[in-house]
Amino acid sequence: MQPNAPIHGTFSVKSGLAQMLKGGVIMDVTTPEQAKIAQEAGAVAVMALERVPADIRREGGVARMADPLKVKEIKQAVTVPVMAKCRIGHFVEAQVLQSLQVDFIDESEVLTPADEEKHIDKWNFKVPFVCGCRDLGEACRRISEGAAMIRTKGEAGTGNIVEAMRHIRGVQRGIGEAREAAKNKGKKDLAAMAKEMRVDVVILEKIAESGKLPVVNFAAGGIATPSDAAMCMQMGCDGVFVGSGIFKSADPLQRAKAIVQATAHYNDPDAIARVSEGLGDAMPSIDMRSLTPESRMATRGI
Amino acid sequence: MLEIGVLALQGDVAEHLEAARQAGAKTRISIRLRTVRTADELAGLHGLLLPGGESTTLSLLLQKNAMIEPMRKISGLLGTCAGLILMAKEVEGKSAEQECLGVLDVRVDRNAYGSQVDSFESALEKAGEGAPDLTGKLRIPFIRAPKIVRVGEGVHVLARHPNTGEPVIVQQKQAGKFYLGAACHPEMRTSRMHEYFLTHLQAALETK
Repeated sequence: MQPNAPIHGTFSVKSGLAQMLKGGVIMDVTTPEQAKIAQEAGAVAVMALERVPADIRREGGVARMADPLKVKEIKQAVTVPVMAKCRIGHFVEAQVLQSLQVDFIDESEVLTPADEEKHIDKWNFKVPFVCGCRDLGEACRRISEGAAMIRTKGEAGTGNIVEAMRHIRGVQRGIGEAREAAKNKGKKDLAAMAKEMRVDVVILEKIAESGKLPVVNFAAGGIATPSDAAMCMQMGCDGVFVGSGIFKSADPLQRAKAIVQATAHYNDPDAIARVSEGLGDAMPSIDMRSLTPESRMATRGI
Repeated sequence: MLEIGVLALQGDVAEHLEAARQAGAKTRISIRLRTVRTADELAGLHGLLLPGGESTTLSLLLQKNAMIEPMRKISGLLGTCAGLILMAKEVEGKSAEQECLGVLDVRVDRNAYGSQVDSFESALEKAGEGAPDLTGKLRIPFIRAPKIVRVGEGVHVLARHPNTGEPVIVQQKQAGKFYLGAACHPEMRTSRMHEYFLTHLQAALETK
């Protein structure tokens, strides 16, 4: 191979797309029409799926990758990147999505897991993957498997931000502990911490030194309002995913535009107040206390 | 003292901030660096860096915040990928409502290299003897990159794609103005392009 020849699918090309999405809003869509609305509202990417999490939660059954025809139609409808979800561990769904040339694959706990023992070996793919996490250990395991982007799991389809906040804090607490451990002031040293997390110590050393994850980190799971999105940004997230929050609300286009503005101007309460006016009802929401442990999506694929 | 802003509405803002910070240190050009999100914050800038990101999102946010007209008045603009699209005079494949600055006399085709599986990294070719070496031997990422399909008379090509010879980094100098645009992302690898920008922007301001 020529030293100058272009190379495809390297990790920096994969994680590079995530870097370009920073500061943006990625929206769940189930039809080409919704995809166009999302793009018009300023989404940096759309997530193609069969049913939004709120409907998956209500209807039950096995939730799978979307119909390839639908993915193709959504790809044709927009120019922004198109992401799609596959089931945790379902490497053939991922192969299919790669063959459809989606721009990013979400190995997602929102769908019914296909393998409870192993996640997909994401190094084998040219398409980048994003994976959910609740704490630093989960984030590190997914990055070790080749994830080019991380998001908090939150609790999808609830319109309740509380779990996303728990997971953002979970990752941050882990990073703080790793830094302490690296300075030898913590209770356990970094190697013990890595062993407990079942990850290579090298990745933890890198995190302890830089004070952040080595890939882009978005918030997801329960974002329903412009203020929710801005809070995740002020907490230090690089951007947000909004699932059911847009197309289950009273006025999807206006709400989508407002969330995009609030994400860009997350440090400006006056701007957030302005865009939040008169948006109508948010999506129907759920109090966590009414969820049974089995109906929680965040505990899948850890 | 050069006042340099980084458009921080969306995209790889942190990468541009870091490249600009290093460029200031290496060129010993004294700069004051800040992020910019509103029209008011554009006031007093000598140069503005337009990051990579999603060009539809960025153009929408620029229009909503009435930033396009004041941005056209800034002396120096550096744009990468989506930033290049925002600067370009003609854009293929943009929607009717997407307004751009139209200051750099090139025609770009959005996402012409294809979808993410077609994204790549590559060393760049200097555009001939005397062209500056903006990236060294480094492999520069092209992420769902736009293609520069036409270059206007006043536009000078600085770097090309090694296989196809397509222009990938271009500049345009005119009275008191300096524009530098890249289809790829040098900011992910090096501060050389930012060093070049600061040096030439300073020269352009002196001759104004």
